[in-house]
Amino acid sequence: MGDRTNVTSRRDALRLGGMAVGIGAIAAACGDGRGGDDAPGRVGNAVVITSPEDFPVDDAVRLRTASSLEISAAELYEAALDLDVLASAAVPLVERLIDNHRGIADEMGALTEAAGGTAWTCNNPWYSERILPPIVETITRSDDVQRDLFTLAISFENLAVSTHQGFASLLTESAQRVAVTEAASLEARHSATLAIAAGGSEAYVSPALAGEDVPQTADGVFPNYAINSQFGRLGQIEFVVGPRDINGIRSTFTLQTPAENSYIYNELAPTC
Amino acid sequence: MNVRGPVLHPHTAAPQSRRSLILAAGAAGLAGAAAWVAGSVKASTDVPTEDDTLLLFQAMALELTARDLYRETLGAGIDDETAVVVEAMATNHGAYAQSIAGAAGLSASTRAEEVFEALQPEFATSDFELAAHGLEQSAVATHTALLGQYESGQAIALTASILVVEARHATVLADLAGVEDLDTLFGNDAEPLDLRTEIG
Repeated sequence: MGDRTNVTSRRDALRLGGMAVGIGAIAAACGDGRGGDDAPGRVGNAVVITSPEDFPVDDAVRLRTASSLEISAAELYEAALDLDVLASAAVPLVERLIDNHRGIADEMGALTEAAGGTAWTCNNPWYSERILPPIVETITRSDDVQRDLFTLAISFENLAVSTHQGFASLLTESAQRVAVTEAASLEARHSATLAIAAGGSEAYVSPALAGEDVPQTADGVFPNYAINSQFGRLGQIEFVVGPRDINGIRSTFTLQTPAENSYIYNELAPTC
Repeated sequence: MNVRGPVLHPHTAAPQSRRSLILAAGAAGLAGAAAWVAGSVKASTDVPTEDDTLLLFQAMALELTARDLYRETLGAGIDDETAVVVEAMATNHGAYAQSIAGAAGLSASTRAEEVFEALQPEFATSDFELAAHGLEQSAVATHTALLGQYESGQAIALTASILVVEARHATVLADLAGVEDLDTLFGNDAEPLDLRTEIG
């Protein structure tokens, strides 16, 4: 048998060849002068992504957005009344909530004009046309529509509280800050009143404030509480509504405070 | 669809006497507090200014006063349902005082003694819920007035996060007191407390 120690096997040749190709690829990747499209790769015929306009955000935009959210809230309650599923005792409360939200919308409109903007008298299309319809549709299929309507109402009130609370730090004039803060405290009262109306005295204080877990009810939903946190929160609001699916799970939705995609910019024309 | 029965559980209406809180507290100089709101102050800095610190000191003293009033109520013995609420409110007000003190670089140790002494008897009566409701309403009004005067974003953000929960406190206390009137549940005709003279 001859000496095979210096013979290059086919396996070695493949290994060396692969290494050479790999080093070449790395060198090419690190090299200069690479051209081509920097956009992420696309598969299929998806709709072309468009970037939103880069409109400025000032006091008027925030106040117009606040008005729009109030009108969306009022329209949500009007839709709830139209479903004709609320207990008669709850109707005066809901009618008062509609009046309160429209009153806040008017106040935000006046402040918008004072800030040099044009008052917004329509709903917020982002919420009223994109976010709320699938939630309401899910609720109408629920085994307990009234319970879920209360949960949605409390969640939307909490959204309004968070929005105004956040705007208090962003608006530049003290009269504006005081106005949105008063709106936030009124909507906190709305939320607390709805929670108590739905859950009675057991809904006064969330166990989370004492460091305890907040368990789901036997119905597979999370209870709402009048005092739901130690400080007012600005994060997203998550809630569970709708019918159980095949696994016994209900739908989870989230609401987020207004941002670039839901601001009512000064450049937007009325939608109503 | 399963439509539940009445969701608004019945209560007997109880009148509110929130103004009595203000009077009892000896809150003189309310016109001055209202003038805070009328002024136009632009928020221009993140860190509390010297002027902010003076105002935050009053806010902190109010929170410590509320905490101590609730603690005294707990110590006097109340039913379990109310105790859960009072315990949470005492804890919350203590946390607010600590947060305000931390933001302003203060020591959370000085309460508004005159307000405490004025309200202590009301908190010891069977109308505790009404007295506490009046205190929370006044706290919301006071923080709102102060918020219009703060110069720093930090003071504004902290105050806003406190007063929205104190509004919830007021709603719970109104329900405990048996209030059904929507004007009372959603309204707040309390005047802001002016603690400048008391604290110096």
